[in-house]
Amino acid sequence: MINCKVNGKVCSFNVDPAITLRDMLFYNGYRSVRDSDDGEGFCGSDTVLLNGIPVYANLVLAGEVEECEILTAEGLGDSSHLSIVQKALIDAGVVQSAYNSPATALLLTWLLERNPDPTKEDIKDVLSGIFIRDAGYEHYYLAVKLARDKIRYGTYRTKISPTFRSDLDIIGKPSAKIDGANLITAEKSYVEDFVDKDTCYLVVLRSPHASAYIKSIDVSKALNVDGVIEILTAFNTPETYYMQAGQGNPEPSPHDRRLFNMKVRHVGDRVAGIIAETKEAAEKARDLIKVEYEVLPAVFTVEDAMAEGAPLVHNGIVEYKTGAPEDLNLYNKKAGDKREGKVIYQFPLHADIRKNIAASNKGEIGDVEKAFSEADAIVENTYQTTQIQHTPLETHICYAKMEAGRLVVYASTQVPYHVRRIVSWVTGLSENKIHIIKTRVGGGYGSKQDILLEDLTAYASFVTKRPVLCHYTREEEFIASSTRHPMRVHVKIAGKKDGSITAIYMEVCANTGPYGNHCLTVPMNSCSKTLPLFKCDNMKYDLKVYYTNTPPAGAYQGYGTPKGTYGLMMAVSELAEKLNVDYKDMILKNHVEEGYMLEILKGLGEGREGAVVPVGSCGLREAILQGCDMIQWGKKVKTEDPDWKIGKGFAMIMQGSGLPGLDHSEAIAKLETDGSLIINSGGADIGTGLDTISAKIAAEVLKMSLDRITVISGDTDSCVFDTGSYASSGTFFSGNASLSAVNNLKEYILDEAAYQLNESKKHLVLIAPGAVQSSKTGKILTYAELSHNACSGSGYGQLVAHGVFTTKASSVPYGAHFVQLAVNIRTGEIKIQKFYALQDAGTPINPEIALCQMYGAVMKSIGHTLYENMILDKKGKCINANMTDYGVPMINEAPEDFKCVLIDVNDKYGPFGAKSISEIACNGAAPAIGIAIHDAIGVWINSWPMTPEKILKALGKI
Amino acid sequence: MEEKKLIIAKSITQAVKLKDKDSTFLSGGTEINRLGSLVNVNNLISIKKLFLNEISLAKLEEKDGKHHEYVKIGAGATFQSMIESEIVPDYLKTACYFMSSRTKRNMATIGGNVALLRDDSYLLPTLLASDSKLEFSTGRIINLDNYLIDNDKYKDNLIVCFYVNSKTFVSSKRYSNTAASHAVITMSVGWSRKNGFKVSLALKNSGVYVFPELAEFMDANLRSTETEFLNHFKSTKDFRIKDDMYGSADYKRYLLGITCFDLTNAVKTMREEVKK
Ligand SMILES: Cc1cc2nc3c(=O)[nH]c(=O)nc-3n(C[C@H](O)[C@H](O)[C@H](O)COP(=O)(O)OP(=O)(O)OC[C@H]3O[C@@H](n4cnc5c(N)ncnc54)[C@H](O)[C@@H]3O)c2cc1C
Ligand code: FES
Repeated sequence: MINCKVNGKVCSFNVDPAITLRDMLFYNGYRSVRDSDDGEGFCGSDTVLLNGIPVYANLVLAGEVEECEILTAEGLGDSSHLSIVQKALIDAGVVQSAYNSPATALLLTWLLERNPDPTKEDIKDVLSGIFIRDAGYEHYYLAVKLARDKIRYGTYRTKISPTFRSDLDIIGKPSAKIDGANLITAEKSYVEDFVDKDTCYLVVLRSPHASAYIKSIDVSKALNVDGVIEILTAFNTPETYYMQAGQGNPEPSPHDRRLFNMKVRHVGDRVAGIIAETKEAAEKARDLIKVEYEVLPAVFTVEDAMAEGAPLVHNGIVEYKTGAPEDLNLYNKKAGDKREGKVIYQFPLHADIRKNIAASNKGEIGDVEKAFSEADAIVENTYQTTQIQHTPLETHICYAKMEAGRLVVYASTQVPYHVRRIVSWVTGLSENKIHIIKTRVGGGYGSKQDILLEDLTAYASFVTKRPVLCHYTREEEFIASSTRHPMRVHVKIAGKKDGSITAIYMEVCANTGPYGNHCLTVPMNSCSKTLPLFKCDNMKYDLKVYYTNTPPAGAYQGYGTPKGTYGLMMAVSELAEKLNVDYKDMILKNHVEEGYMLEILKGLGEGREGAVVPVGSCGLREAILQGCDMIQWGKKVKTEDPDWKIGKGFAMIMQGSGLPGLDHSEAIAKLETDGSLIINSGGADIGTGLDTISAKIAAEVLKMSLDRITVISGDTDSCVFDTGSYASSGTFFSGNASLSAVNNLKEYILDEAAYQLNESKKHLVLIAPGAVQSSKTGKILTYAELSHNACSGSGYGQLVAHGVFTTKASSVPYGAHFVQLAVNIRTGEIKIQKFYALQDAGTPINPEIALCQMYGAVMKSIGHTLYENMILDKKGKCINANMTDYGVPMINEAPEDFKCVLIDVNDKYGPFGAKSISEIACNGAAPAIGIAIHDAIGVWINSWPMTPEKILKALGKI
Repeated sequence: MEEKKLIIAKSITQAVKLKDKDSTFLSGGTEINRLGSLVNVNNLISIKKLFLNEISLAKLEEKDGKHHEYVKIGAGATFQSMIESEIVPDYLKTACYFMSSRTKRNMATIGGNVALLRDDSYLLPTLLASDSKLEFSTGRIINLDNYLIDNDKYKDNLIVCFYVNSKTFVSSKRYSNTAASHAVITMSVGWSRKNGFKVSLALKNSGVYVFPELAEFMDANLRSTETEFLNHFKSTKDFRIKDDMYGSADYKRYLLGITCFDLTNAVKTMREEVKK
């Protein structure tokens, strides 16, 4: 028995003293004490105060806290009684996917209690032990200022963010995220909070080989372990082929896998799934399974994969749902061993699995060769990017159970409806028998667009009829999740002496790993979200995607664009140098402007014909000019220390706002009988504030206060279809669907009010807070009265409106990111001194949250550029599959002077003029940093990560 | 995996008595309790309640028969408590900051860090370069160098405190990918009137080293230019060095040369400043 005080209460815990303090607390209901890294002591999700000092609860044993006082984040306040710091964190916009938010509230409360006037350094110090991937660290400084204001003056004196659209009341102004209070106080939010006590556990036996046929699997000993319920393998699971990419159906990704394959294709590939009553039993059984492998040679790079006679990752039968080539039978005669399985295309992706090509595409406008031959200068270079992990704080998790004959799946997902479709495919259940509940998502960044464990967990529950929990370890997150595709981007670019760019050729070779998730569309974005930045008549692209035996690749925030932008902008900068033109002048001369027809988009659809559209709202020029002013472009900065050289760089960037013609969003708006509102949105809020966007849109249109609006989202039973949160579609598509629903509801309200007031609709207007007024009679009918009347026996019934949003319009966010950095020419060390990110997001509906999205994305991309890299050994095993060795940036890596700026542009198609914000923010850091390094020391670093060793090599020091 | 067992020691005598080959002392727990710990022993003897965390000034009688003043740091002193102490020398505080996480610094102890002899050790190079000593529960005091060299002999002993000389000049540098990543190189150069230069190094995937020969060269002014340091580390066979995920051997050798040169200059500057 451990006796201690928790949050001021005397407690006794009947636990083994050698378990960790975190387990003692978490399993006794203190949900805030989470774990993101299996006890590695890195992320800080398990922070508590022990006798008044912050510690990691995972690194303390329960027996050590006898007679001690413990404070967890729950001790600060509940969602109805938020503490000043909790509230300030929400108001500052940092509570996003929020897995670590409760811990940060605890740390900053501790700081302010000891030091009411902390400096930036003090705050940095206190947050140095906490990993934040979603919102960056910048607005934590703001949160402390807000809390300090509140303590000192009783009100905020510090401005939270700029405001937009003075003609609107709620849109474009900061307002607390509607789920902020629940998240910061660690109320039930994430999948792990919904797991029942009687759950069983699913653990996966993973392949130690990068490529091998499974000859046999002996599970007899494993099945004898007490508590083991079932073991699933390729020998007892369906032969249904599908893919794990959460994309619109029919997907532009090949169906090239089953639940379990007879051939393993990467270290970490699924071999068996063990379902047992305890995790320990499942793990014990996993270790007793005997697998006989026939080990095969493997390929790890695109160069390996494209080599003549290279081992083939897939060499089975190929099928097409539509568009099969005429010589398919002949092609299939060359298929290898039966255990290779099948690859099924929904439509042609121009693949050739017998050459390891998973997909390809090419296109051209104008006459590139001619332009090259007439150029004054040509730059031709290859840029290499690496395999990067998303590292969401909440690792992948799924809990599934059978309830009343239906399969209920709690998923931390960006794509609930795609999860439902794929679960339906693997289980054979129709969609009405499957209920997906998207909980709050503790970080996704694209990795939760893929259905990586929901398929197997749901299937396991379906066949065993038991509740089943599967929770990835951090190592699994590296080896069995999705990652950023490593790419080789070859750019050839030509220009004239006057600074005009006359031809661009991009050849992109991407490594999709063992399966083809997003294999066509990610590399496509490397071209489709970069080439349209330029007013250039001659452009050509050629992309090929190769299968290899690395850990799988998939969707990652930015989706191919960061890599294309890196290559292209670096090449433009080099071209400017070669032509002796200032890079800024060259950019200003060649960037697109509103109205410019984007011919290049013709071939760059999602595997289909793309639409040629003009550039719409575009704040690009303003971003470039304002950023150049801020960074003092052209002004050389000198240091006193001759070892450190300063350089500046910038890159222009773009993205999309969903996939026009493919994405689809719906929402329902329901006026409740007391006049409050529930929106059932198909959209999946993954921490980015999408639910808040829906609520604010409704509040603006219906003149209601936010506390009278609830948004239920991502629940496939109660909501309506939405393709999901990816491709920067949330605000634009799901937001527009909510707008459509509330606009329709507004009409219903006016119709109903006209009926109830016996007046003409044309005299009625909505007024705040939540009422209809007649301009003729002055009469006011509150929504409560109106709705009550409508539902009280004689009315026309509850007011429910449905909204659908699809479009062919393309609303493109633009921006420019600026860097000033220092490079040490003797040690190769790099310090980011300034980072200014300027973006046109249309009208930012939640400006404070939008800014944090930008800070978070920039931090990630600084990480990708300078530190992060999954390293594989010769056998394809990831040797740095943990947080410490992998190298994510934390507060100590944040730029010294870091500013994100929202350019005020109003878009024609977005809800209240909004475009997307966060994905684009991943695109600028790599080229801006690369260009700044060149400016500082005169060398081009053409591969990620830009390490000190590469700097020293480029300088000829080693 | 066997289950862990925890015993909270109530006295130094009890802790020492309980210690056998199947058990280990549990101090800050930041190594023992973490995933992938280097310590694979399941019987843990917590020494937290022994309150070995005092930081004070102490005099030690040395071979010259004189009493020299040291900062005495209890083995259970945390990194953060050393940073907050008014008497801990700045060079050691710099090394404490090498542990970038404040929360971890609130937990991790100097005793735990030294006992681990990690090849990416935060404190060892600094403590070695400063000629620090340590005291076991038996009352025996030895130089840290001896603890390193004869570790098999000493590793099961309970360290109760360290003696750190605030008059030594020490400069240290740590190279790691991010601040929170493991270091590829942590190097220190120290100088004291009594012992002259001292160079120490923790090199990832290699080990912890002291280079007496190099120090002798430096004392004799045979290593003073950047090129001399670069060449020394380019060719030295004093330690194992290989290509790995932290960098190529060439890179590491180069960094060692440059860093040793820089640290030596930094120490010389400190010396000059004090003379003034
Ligand atoms: C994410 C992460 C990264 C890390 N990276 C590094 C790193 O880069 N470099 C590094 O040096 N460390 C690293 N560590 C390990 C650790 O934090 C430090 O080494 C720390 O100083 C260990 O001290 P402790 O008090 O926590 O030791 P403990 O974990 O309590 O003990 C460690 C060892 O020291 C022994 N020991 C402790 N006190 C005594 C004593 N008084 N007498 C004799 N033996 C004793 C124990 O028996 C045990 O074998 C890392 C830890 C984490 C969680
Ligand atoms: S040990 Fe702290 S989050 Fe895992």
